[in-house]
Amino acid sequence: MAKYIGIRVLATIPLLFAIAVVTFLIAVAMEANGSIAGQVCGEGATIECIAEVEESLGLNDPLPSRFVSWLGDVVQGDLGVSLLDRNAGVGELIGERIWPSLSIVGLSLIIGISLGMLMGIIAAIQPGGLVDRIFSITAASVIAAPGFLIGMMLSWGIGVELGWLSPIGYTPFGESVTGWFKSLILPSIALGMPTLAIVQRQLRSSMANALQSRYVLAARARGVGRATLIGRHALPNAMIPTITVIGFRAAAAIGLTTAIEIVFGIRGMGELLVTSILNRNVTVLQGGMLVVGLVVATVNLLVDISYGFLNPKVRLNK
Amino acid sequence: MTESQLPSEPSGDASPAKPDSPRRRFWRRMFRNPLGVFSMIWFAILIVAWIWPELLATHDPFKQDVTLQRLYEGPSGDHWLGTDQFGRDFYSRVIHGAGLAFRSIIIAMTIAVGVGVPLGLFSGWRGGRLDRAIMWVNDVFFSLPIILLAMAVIIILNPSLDNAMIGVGIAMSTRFTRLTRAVTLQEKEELYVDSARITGLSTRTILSRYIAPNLMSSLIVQAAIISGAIILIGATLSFLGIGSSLDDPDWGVMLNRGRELFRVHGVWQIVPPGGALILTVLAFNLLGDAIRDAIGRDASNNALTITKRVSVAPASTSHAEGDDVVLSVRDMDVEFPGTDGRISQVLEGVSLDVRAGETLGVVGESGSGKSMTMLSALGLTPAPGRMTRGSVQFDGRDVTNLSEGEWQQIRGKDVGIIFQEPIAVLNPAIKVGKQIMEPLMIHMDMNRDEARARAAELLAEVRVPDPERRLDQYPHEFSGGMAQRVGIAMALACEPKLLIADEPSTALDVTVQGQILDLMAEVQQRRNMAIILITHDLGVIAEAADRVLVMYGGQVMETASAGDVFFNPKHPYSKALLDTMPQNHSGEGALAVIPGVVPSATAWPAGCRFAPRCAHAIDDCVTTMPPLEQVESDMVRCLRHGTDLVLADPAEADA
Amino acid sequence: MSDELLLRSRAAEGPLLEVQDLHVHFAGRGRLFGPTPPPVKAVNGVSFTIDAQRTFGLVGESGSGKSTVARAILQLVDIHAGTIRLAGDDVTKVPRRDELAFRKRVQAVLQDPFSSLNQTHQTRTIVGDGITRHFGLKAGEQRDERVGRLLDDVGLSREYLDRYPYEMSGGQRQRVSIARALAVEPQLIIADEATSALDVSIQSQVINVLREIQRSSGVAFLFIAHDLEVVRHVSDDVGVMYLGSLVEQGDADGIYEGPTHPYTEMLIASIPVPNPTVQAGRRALRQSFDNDAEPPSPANLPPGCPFENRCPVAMDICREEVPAAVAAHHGGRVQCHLHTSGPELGGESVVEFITKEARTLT
Repeated sequence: MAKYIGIRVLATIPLLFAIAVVTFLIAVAMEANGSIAGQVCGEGATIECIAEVEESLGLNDPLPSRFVSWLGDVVQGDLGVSLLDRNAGVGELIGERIWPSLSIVGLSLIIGISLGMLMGIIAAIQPGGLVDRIFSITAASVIAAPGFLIGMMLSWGIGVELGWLSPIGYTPFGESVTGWFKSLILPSIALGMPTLAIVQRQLRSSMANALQSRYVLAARARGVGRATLIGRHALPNAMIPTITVIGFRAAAAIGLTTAIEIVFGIRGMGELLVTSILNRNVTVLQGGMLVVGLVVATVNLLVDISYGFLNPKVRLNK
Repeated sequence: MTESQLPSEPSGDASPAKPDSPRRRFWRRMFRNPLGVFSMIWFAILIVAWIWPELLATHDPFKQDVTLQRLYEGPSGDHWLGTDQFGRDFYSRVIHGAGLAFRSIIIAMTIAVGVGVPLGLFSGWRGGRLDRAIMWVNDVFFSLPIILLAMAVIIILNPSLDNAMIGVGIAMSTRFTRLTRAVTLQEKEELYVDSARITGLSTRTILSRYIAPNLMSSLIVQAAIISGAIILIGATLSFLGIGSSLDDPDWGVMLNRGRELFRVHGVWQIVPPGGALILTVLAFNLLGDAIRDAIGRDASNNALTITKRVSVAPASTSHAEGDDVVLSVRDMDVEFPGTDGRISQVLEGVSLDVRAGETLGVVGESGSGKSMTMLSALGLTPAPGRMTRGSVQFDGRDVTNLSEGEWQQIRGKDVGIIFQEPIAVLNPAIKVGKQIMEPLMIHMDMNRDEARARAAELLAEVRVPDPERRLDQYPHEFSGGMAQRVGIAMALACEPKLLIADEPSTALDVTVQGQILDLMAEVQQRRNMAIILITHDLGVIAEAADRVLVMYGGQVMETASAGDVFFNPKHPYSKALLDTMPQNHSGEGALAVIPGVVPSATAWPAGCRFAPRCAHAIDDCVTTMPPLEQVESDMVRCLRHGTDLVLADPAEADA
Repeated sequence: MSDELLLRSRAAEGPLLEVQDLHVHFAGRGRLFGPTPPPVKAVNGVSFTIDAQRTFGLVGESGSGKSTVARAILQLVDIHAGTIRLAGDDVTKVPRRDELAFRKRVQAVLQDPFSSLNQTHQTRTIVGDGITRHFGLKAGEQRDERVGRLLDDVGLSREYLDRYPYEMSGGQRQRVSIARALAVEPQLIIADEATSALDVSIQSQVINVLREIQRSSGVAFLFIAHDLEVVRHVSDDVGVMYLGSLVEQGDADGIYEGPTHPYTEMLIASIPVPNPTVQAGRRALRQSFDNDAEPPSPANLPPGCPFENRCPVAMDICREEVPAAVAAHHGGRVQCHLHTSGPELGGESVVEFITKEARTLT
């Protein structure tokens, strides 16, 4: 298993490199579409200002050497400074903003995966039964609703009308642990509901497949009880495709949390990215994309490793 | 060549009933599914809203009415869905928004399909390293959040919904590449594609007439579901302010406006666009589901679905007597309700006995009901099938109406089952040792260590080399023959009184088959166990069976000692089956055949089920169902038995 | 290929199909970034010939490479080494521009009657496609008439013209497959496990159709199956494959009655006979072969005879050297050291020797 994990970790390197290339090229393309320096210097920019900015950003060097020096900085953890505020390091900016986002994504995944799996298993036990049908309809409706809309409804219903939780805002972990947790509940549910529905649907269908398999029939013929059939025989096999879906959903949640943050007025990565896009703040965007890419790559790695645990064929053959 | 020289295939009534054409069945199912109808209507509305929104809208979506009392209005006769903060008509804005949403789908889908499908076709058809390289790059993009990719394109091309949709289209193309490639790879391996190449058809013909139609159904399902996703992403981007411009009647923009207002001016501000969004995405998802359901068959039952109990009519004959009778079945009927309301009677009046130390061979062609007999006798009738008549006695105890819990005490302990596909019946995710230990721990109250030690002994007993190491391996590390030995070890773990072997050697090579049969015989001798051996191969029966049960069309045709079945068959079907074996064919000339095909379980012949194919059938055979008659210790189901019918003895010469 | 060439090849003397020292390797499939595993040697130096209007049966267990031989002849897999000639023409690797002419000469009936026909086409299209492609006859009444005649030949009534595959039984589908192969009027039909998936009563129907067609049209058959009994019944000559090697070949009855390779003998002894009295006797013979060794992996073949670890009469030399082919009493050839070393059987049957050896062993 250790060897398998090692190989998977090494296999992540080309992925990270690809993400770096794409991020770099985005900045190059932006430049081609409008002078970054002009943006920085503002309207009525002087030629000197533009030249100075271009010089400081190294925009006059050939592309490959720019990429190498940029990558070198990135690997050392230097993401440059914000174009709008030359005193603000991109690394620090992201460091501030990433924790609310990661907290929401993390908690939403915990909620979505655990409840989704539970509901998926329950539905698979009696396919076509009442519970299955109720779950199916609920899941279909929830999947159809974007997280930010669910967020608004929660904010209105539980936050405004019932007044149980604050409809808006975020309390940092350092300030108050319970406050932090409370401020996470609504956004995480909003982001986690579609996850829950997706996991539920996938697990239900792959459980149904697994329960139709010959090995479940054979186990039943050995006198294996219902609970063991579901939990030990069908579930591990049904989890393999489910893990794939969870991986994609985790990556998607990282993108979708932007909208949730805006609903709840949380200053996270989402807000940072959106304002950088509108302000054409290249360095912040590059840094943000890179960090998000790193998180996605980590998620992929975790998914690959869980395959190894669930599927002996994958683990032993590679 | 004249037709009469040939064994010809009767057409018409003997062949399976002609089902609907796939296209008609598809539309019938679509229109019968209420959710499918809903989604199709919704789809039509979207198209109209896109092409001619004025037809549906009641107001100009941009016209503001800032007279104070006209802001934040609720639904009324004039404004069906109320007004927004500028007094604009929500209903009309939602309709125009639907047009925008459909336009987004068109843009993104054109790119996604236009890039994804050709790339997937190319990659899958070509294969090799280039394929893997393409798929690696594809998977990198696949794993990135779509929102992020859309943002990247917006960054490069300036914020607008159309630009965002270019990004979404590129991101979604990875889904189509994956799907197309997977289908192409799979179809490429299909024999019918090989056949087309052998016929000499060109690659273009094969791709367009063979691969594409099979790809189409998956693509349409995928496209419907992705359309829903595209709308969601478009709305999210507009909501973030990097999609449609702030005046557009875009659902996402409207929701963004609502976000600033709903905590103050009430939740209604987000209901019209939110509701439209949810219903539209839902409609696309339902459309995808409905199409999938209409194409495929339903898979709503699984091995755990235990059919609702029905009262089982009692058997009309009594069970065999004697202490050594292990399993005795009388007059068993099993029915399957079909999807179209017709009932297939897959078993009719099946009776059998098996005694300790004896091997009962059950022989018949596919569809004869031999496997179903064994599953039903052990309460394992696959859903939605059910036993409607009969009586089953196991080891002197009436087990006809046992609950699943009571069966669990018997199955695996007193009766072991060996299945046909030795690898498929092993759980791929669990070590072989643990699977063998399972019945030991359930039925024999062994702890982990005891069970493991016993499992190793069992593997040694079935002559699996190096049992200790094998216990820690997974099923995919076993060959078919070795896996079947594991199957036998599991079935024997608790020293059952009865072993049921369902085609135990059919999936194995012929040189391994003998080893498996020898092993079963060896264990039987040691333990005085009863064996029911199900097979289609009369050679296997000759090797291993003491008594034989011949089945056809869900009925027992004949039971007899092995010697009698081979040297003195009483039923014309037994005789015909023997005659068709190449081994029993001497000299040149055509092989003996049984003309026609096995009838389907929904349309059994009225009289004897074998009559249409029987060389000895008389008029009565076609109209009258013969009873299963006791003849000394044997049974036979033939009207002509005991009359002037003479069935020549095929094997006497060799004996 | 031009008509002139075709005419010349038809006139040429010698066998219709000549396979010489055929090797087929499958490259191991590694990951994009990673080492490539060793190739699987599916076919290892196979040579045989089929004369016009004759049937050559190729028998072997799963993984023996018999289907790969078929796929190599049909140009469906790449050939690593060796040559294939069809009536004298080299068809080892048919260039693209000659492919159509080649396809007209060699046809096939494949194993699974449920996947070898396109579900979306009717019989008239399945069979008619080849007629259009090779004879330029477009879909229509004339082509239907021709398809109808082919259906007559395989014993299906013309009602089957507008049937879809899912409206037919396994045996009927296989008849349609045969009609499709016949449609282009080939010189050779390769039947790859064409009857294996069928019930025994249907199997005999289809075999009779094949034999009748050979009698009336004179097409040659390469009949591939794992069932030696069926192969023997339909074939003039038989080849026995084990792990990519053709270990024995020769006259069908000659091989069956006096096998010269221990593996052939093992195969014959393993087939249960539908006669309890006879089978009781054969069981002892079969058991003399029982050992629990598994065949080696075709990706990692031993240096000597591939059958060595399962052979009841293996000698030291069998572990070290691959046996060369020598002449056998049935007019064919055999690859086994017993004929040149040890008992030096000189191409005679191994049955007596093995029975004797087995008795001294037990």
